[in-house]
Amino acid sequence: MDGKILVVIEHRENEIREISWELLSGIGRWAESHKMELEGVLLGYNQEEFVDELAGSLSKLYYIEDKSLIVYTWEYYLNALIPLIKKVGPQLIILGHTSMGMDLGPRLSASMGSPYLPDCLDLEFNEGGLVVIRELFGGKLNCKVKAIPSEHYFLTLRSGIFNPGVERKGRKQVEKIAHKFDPEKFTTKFLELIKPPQEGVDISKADIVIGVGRGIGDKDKLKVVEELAEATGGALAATRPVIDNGWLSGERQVGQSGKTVKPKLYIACGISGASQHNIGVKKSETIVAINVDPRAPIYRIAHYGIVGDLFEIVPAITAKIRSMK
Amino acid sequence: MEIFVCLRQTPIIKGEPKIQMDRKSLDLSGLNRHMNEWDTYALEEALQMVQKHGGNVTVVSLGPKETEDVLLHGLAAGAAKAIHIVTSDQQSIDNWTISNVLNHFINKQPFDLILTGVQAEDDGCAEIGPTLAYLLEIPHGSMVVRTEYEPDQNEMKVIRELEGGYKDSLRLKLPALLTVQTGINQPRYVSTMRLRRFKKEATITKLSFSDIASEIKALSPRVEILEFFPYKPEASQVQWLKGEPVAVADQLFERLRAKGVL
Repeated sequence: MDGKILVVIEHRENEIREISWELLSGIGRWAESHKMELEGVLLGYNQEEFVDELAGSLSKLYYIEDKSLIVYTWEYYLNALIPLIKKVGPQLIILGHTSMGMDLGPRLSASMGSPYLPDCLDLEFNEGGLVVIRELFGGKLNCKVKAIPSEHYFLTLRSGIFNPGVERKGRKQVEKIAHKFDPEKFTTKFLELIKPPQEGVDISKADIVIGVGRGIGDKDKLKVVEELAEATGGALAATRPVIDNGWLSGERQVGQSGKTVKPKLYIACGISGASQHNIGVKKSETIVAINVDPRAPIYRIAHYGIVGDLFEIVPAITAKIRSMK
Repeated sequence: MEIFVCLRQTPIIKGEPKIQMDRKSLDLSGLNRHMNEWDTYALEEALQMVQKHGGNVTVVSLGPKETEDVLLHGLAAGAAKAIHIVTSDQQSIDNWTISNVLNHFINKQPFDLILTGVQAEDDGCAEIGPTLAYLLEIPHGSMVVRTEYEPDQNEMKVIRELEGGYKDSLRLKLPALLTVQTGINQPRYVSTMRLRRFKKEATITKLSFSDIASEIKALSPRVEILEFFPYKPEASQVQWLKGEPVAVADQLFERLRAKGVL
């Protein structure tokens, strides 16, 4: 297999995002075993400090520099990437399955007339086409999806499936690309980046985190997990549906769009374990999961699994901890 | 404002989904279905916008006969019109084809805004929104958690959700397409009685999926499902704790204490 892979690098607030290091390391190894060249593209401004480090992990880095590229917007990225992809001719164009990848991937692939394969867990060339593994129904089922033969394939890969840590010795080849934008013609204007609020509880600093999910059923029933949090001295965190329903305030949201936590102990109560949640907690040292459905994806990242009614199990755990203090 | 809301009906799967013998399809018979969770928020956002600024909401859905339930829900919630693009029962259609068929219908209609959910509960692709915006040649904003219509400029200001509590805000020229994130509003409750009344009285415009698809030049699927397979439990490291709640609590406490985390 010959050919090129192009990874679109992500950055925010002058930092390369973790997903990009994961892709460089994981797809880097994949590229080597498939005898393909791994190239990357960075769209940014004043990011020389990263250019060298990134280029070290790639056969080649394309650096498109423009003041408008300090932040991501689909229109600028699309405008700059289409000519680059046409020029470079990568077979695979890989993005993270992040807010950027989800926003850009479908439109970019459609613009190039190519198949789009989102949120992939694995990929392989097979019988002349690209075959990927993805999940369905929030992880209840997997499937193999084949794309039609194409000059390019666009993929987004899930966060957390590869470990970052790049050991490849690249040639540090950098090609700086000048691209002239014509913002007069653009239909989307970036206004501002809104940073996470700093006030309130910081669940990412706690040694013990008690996570509560949709299984709690109602705001009035939160007492049972609040008591466990109190008994363990832990912080109470919640999944997206709990926050969406207004049962707990937004600063307690755990997962991809909320906070990533890595406590010594994470106890998931009534959480089924959607990928967006699991990405944000899987690096916890010990994970305990309590759920009614033994097939819930939360058990795939849990160390200890308890199947049953959280309203019976959680109070028993709270009572045990209190009695031993 | 003329707003189109694209809805998907998704099966509610409890337990393990049944894979057919050929491994290429699922047995979804007998399962309850509902409106894709993200789409309920898109619908509500559209209804609130026309309440405030005037106009009409049209709900559109592509799927087999049962799909009319989500369209009835849309009408009962306040949509003015419903369009059902009818497919055959077991037809598996890729998102590229769905986007093209939606485009073929919508681009002939006057519209200011298209809303849809960020993603669907079944495939989780988050693909149709930006793809449809590309086909309609209009701007898109995805993962939207706040909207503000600016009638004087004919623009839409939106706040989008990124990762780790970050958000950004954009201003889009209309017409535009937005994919709506959960939690943006509180979808209204539609009573069963009201739904029943709409089932008797409401009109849903039916269009044939295959008729529309055949009118689109060179339309063919870009991806195909080769096989479904269950999750392989060997990838899990979980140690199960079993017994009565008190016994389970004891076992857990001992293990956590031994590990030094309690």
